[in-house]
Amino acid sequence: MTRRYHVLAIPIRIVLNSFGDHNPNGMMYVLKENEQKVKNLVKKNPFSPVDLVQPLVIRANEGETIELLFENQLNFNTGMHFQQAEYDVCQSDGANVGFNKDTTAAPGESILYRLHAVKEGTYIFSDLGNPASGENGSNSNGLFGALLIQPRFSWWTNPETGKTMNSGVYADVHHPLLPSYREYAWIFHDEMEADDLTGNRPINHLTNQEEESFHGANYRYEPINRRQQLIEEGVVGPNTEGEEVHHDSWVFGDPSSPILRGYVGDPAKIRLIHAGVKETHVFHYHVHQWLSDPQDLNSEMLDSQSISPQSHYTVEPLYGLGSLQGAFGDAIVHCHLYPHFAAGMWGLNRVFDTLQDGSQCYPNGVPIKALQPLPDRKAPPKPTKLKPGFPNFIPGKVGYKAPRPPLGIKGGRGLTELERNAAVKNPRPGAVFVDPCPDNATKKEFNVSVIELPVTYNKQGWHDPKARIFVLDEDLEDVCSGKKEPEPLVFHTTAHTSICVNFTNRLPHILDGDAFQLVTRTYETGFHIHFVKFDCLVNDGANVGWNYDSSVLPGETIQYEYYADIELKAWFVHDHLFANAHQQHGVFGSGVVHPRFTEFLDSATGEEVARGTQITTRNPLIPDYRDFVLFAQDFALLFDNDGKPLQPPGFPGSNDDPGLFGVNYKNEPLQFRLGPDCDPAYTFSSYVNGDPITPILRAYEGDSIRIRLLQGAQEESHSFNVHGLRWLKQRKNLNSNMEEQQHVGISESFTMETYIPRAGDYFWAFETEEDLWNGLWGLIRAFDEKVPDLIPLSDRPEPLKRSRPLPECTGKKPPKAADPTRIPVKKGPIRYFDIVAFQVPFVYNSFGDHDPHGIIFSLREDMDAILEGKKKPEPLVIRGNVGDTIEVTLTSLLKLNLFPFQDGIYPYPEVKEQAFYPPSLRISLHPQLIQYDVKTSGGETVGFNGDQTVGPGESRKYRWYVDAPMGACGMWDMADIRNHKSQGAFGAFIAEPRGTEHLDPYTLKPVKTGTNVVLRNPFLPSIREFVTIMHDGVRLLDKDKHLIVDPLAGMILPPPDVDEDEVDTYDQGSRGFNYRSERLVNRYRKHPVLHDLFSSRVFGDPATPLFESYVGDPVTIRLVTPAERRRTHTFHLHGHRFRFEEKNLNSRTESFAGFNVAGAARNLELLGGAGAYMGFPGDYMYRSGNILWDIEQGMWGILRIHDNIQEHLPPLEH
Amino acid sequence: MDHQTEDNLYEELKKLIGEDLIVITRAVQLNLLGQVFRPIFSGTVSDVQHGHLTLSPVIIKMVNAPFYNFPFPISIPFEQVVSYSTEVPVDEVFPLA
Amino acid sequence: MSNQKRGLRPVNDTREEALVLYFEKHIGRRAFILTEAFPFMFIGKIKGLLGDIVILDVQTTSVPALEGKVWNIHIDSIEVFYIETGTGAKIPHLKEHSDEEPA
Repeated sequence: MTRRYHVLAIPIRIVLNSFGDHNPNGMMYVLKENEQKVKNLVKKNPFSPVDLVQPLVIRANEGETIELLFENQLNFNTGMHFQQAEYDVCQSDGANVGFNKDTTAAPGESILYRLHAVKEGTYIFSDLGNPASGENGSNSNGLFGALLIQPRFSWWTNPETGKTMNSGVYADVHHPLLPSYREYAWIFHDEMEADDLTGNRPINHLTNQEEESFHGANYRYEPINRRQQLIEEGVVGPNTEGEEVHHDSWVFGDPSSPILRGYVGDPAKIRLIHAGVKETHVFHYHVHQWLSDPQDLNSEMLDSQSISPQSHYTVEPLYGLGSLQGAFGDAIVHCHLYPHFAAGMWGLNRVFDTLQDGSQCYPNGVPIKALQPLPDRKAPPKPTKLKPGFPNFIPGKVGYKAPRPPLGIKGGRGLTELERNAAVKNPRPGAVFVDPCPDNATKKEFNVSVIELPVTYNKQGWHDPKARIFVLDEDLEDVCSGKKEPEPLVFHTTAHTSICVNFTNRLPHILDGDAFQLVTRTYETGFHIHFVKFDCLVNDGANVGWNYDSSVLPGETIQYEYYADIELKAWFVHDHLFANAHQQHGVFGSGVVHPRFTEFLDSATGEEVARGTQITTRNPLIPDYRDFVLFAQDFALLFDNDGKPLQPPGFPGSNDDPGLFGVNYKNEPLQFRLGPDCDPAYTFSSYVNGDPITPILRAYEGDSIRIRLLQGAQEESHSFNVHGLRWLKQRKNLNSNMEEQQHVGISESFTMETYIPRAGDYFWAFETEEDLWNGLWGLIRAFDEKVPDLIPLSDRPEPLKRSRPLPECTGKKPPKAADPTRIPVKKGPIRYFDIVAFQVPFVYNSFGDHDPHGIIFSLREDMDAILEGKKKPEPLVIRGNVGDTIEVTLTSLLKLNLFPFQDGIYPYPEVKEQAFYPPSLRISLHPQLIQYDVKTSGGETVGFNGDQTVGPGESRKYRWYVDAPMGACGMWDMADIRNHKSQGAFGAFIAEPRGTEHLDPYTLKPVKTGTNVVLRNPFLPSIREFVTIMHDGVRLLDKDKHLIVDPLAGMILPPPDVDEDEVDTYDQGSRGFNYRSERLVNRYRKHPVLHDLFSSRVFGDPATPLFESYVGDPVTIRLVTPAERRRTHTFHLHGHRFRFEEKNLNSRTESFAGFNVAGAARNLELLGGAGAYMGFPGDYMYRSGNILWDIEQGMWGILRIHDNIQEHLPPLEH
Repeated sequence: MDHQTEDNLYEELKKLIGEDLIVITRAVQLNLLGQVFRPIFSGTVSDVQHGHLTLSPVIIKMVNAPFYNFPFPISIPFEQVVSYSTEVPVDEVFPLA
Repeated sequence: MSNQKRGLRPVNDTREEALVLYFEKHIGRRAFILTEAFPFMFIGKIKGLLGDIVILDVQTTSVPALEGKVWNIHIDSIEVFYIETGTGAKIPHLKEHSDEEPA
């Protein structure tokens, strides 16, 4: 079947909220049938939001062909590029790539796109005619939308009228066999131009400075700044401060941002889409949980999910709206990054318990729009006078803060008559309108307080004088007196427990001002929880929509009650009232829900405990484990020993990346760990510097461990890496990927379940450069023999008595690690690699952008050819097969005079807290995911392991073992993370199936290295393997040897008032693939036509790797990101899809891979081979999904798929 | 009980009482309190009946605990056995995921 | 020549029958059963048999809501199991660690 749409790209004024903030230069896609209507409405309503001004969302069914006539009414070439779909890349790419025909439309012209919806899901579309970032681009101004592909035979109706519909962000989707569901498109976007009513940039009324950038959803946002102004002006909310009522509909009425409406129990799909250009956001949705992959019931359960630009997920709340407990009321949906949340990136999921036919009103008199019940479900009861339904039984007063809940506050009020009518049979504190807890559940009670006290983060005395933390009441005295070291509160329970928390607010009314923050009256706090089941009206620990304000004033205690229905990993807790003001001071914690029947023991004494970031567990059925919890923090507002603020923002109250970093309220900056000889190679050595103050996770060799990874604060992504221990990405699915790295955003929670095969010190780190530099690293220490303060696991053999003393800090260079090759190899082939590290200039493109100080790993036999320019430098990629022992001999040939900054300060790309750190001439090579003994072959000098780096002229051996076909494994230097990685000291190891031959694709002769090979295996099809190493933080000079200060230097259409200070440290630097970058600005200067910038007809092929294939050839892309900055990159390949998890046949299939940040490694097997199932030849772009600041800065290339035999490219034998 | 059908498997396994055995059964994965594992059981044959054998002590090979000593014996119906071997040492390390 | 052709019962049938008999012999004893299918684990007392279905008075499963109930489990679907015989090892009594006894 063919479905047809006629879509226009039009200029439109987008009013972003009811305060009149607007984008005068908005652009949108719209159906032709709505064109006139929307234009008329906007003309009539220049200062209020118009419903029809929304991102275009159209629908079709799986298996259909969509013919889309696209008409361009903008004054530059635009198009529609679809992700996920299969299409003829020469007819329907919506771009002008390589030697394809240009498939953008000129102003006033039309083009027909034909797309094949091979699979249900979210097909984002966006413009590639104008790839400029910033306000002169098309994407930031709104030129995006989505085609939502439903199951076959579906149809959809308008939720308000029940009539069929052609477009709209909300629809009810129906099916003859499947349940109907509410479908909500939630489209995050950022960096849109926003002007106030006067046409100027909005000014923050507190700081008097320009407001934060736009962060919103579906062309709307509801900033705290605007709402707070109404308080300041005395219009509403007497005696309130601002943040605590930011989401309160009692004070302000409903926000302009999206409100997703449904009835209790309705099945729903939120199509979560990131159409923005820059940031990685964290989608959080109160009260509900969902599976990370709706197709795979063994996938991880989430209630918070990071999402990077041009990627998408389907959020199907488990048990429907209101979750298992059938909660009703307002569940807030928001970006958990607090500065974005404050900027307005939030909305509501409104779950009604009574029928809305359009005759009712909200408490403020605003009519409640009708909402059709889903046809296959019983309609909810009609509201009556005695039972008016949510929100009309709540005794609030319009214009004032929401009322406190009944029963919850100790000494507080009981129920009103209307509340009693709405309540459950046995209402009690925390469970008034639904009862989440079954009678037979185990009961646990915790008394928790939130307090303020100074906390010292490191040995140098960096401290937060106003730290705010949760503590158990029984620990109050010990923590406040300094007897107990403050750590984030982690309390432990088992599944099937009903948890009661008595929460007391012991904070001062005032959060005092300083260089970072303005004085804030943080007079009430709550205890907001993730994952567990609860009554969202009274127990959310928040103040949301028309719900109650479930927080308490200083000195008051509120009782909360939750049910942990199943094993729930580590649930996140934090305050929801003043989170933007004080969560970065430490107001976060976690409750870990363990398997049933687990006991929790103090790891030192074996006594039972209820809390702790490191404990030991005992369970009668499953293996015991050590339980470790790590919280990443950014925006840590620290002062040094002299009281000097560290990294204060431009002005107090600014959310522009203030402060530093922490992990569990600690950090161990590298700048303080240079030993007497000032060699960065020994930074991580405990021999030289003693152990770090950051967590050392202690266990015995052979122990099972679970690491709970969370992020407590506040705005940025972090990349957690463990060296030498891997885990299942989805811990309940054995076909899931094994990983050693995990991206984490605030409020996300991951459990890494693994065990420690060998004794030694294992390195963990948040391994992007700036995080690591500022101290986010530590150790996992596995003892070989008994130590006094660590009980053994009860089901493991008793450790041997200590036969030799534990190593100690000597202040001197660490001893050399033993030679791993002294032990004979028992079985299997050995592959030898003689690798040298040396310096050589890298030319990044034909425009002369270059790095004169490149550091490369290469085979010794290739070194001369590279130095003489006969062989082009590319990152070293070596391969081994399963069963192989890999023996690497590494030699350093680094020379001091070839380093750019021999004085020890690396000025750009910079990191926060720059300090002396001279280049090391030592180097090492650390691989991911394969097996080795960390004491000899981890390729790093860590803890009390011996030295595994090599100095100039020296060599040493590493021995690795390939035990499984892991595919892509990153490989990088660990001797000097500041002076080596930006310069290229990385590569990849590929672990291939047994019996695989690795051939040059052009000669079919065996090769030992290379980013482009053919894999031949007697049992498997021959495969083309393309290794793409995505990297950033590069320091380039142009052809005239002038420093290129990317990303701004790479902007095609920079704004006139470009301010370099606006670029966060972690956005600094150039970027690309495999030491190449096709920066668009070079092309634009030569030929200033935006839509031609990807064209090979105009410019020739890009400098980035050109991968060639024939239609139908099996292709695997190995995608590795070894370096180095904190900004994540999305990878997108046009016209193709791949499984998220290559070994899991139930895995979702997508055309993007998100979160490419230091340590990420992925294997993308193209479904249907090159050209996808339909086999279209042509030039397919691979690229970053970040319009700002990746594509312009050169992160793109071409996969060329031929249909005719080419002389230079031998075909694969099939 | 009528055992007119001779079951060579039963006879063979009987001889292995007291010996170490690794047995793999049909399921893709099993789930104990949220902990998933492939059905790979390694241990000493302690009893053989006409419909099943029992391993005691028995190690369940889990990705996060490859040498997990299960706290009580495990009996395995013959009809669930996919493969077994007497030649894989109980302490053999091999990739499980 | 296969058993069937010789007029003998297939070996699979005898094995299944032997297993049924084994469960029957231990009526009244505690059993531990793992199945690939949800809810994966049962611990309870064998009450009886219904052909090749074992009737189990279930004390513990992976899902608390399904406990304290009688479950009928198809013996063919039992992946592995253990039955207390009175002499050998015991299946642990799984205790939840509570602040108070559940009401």
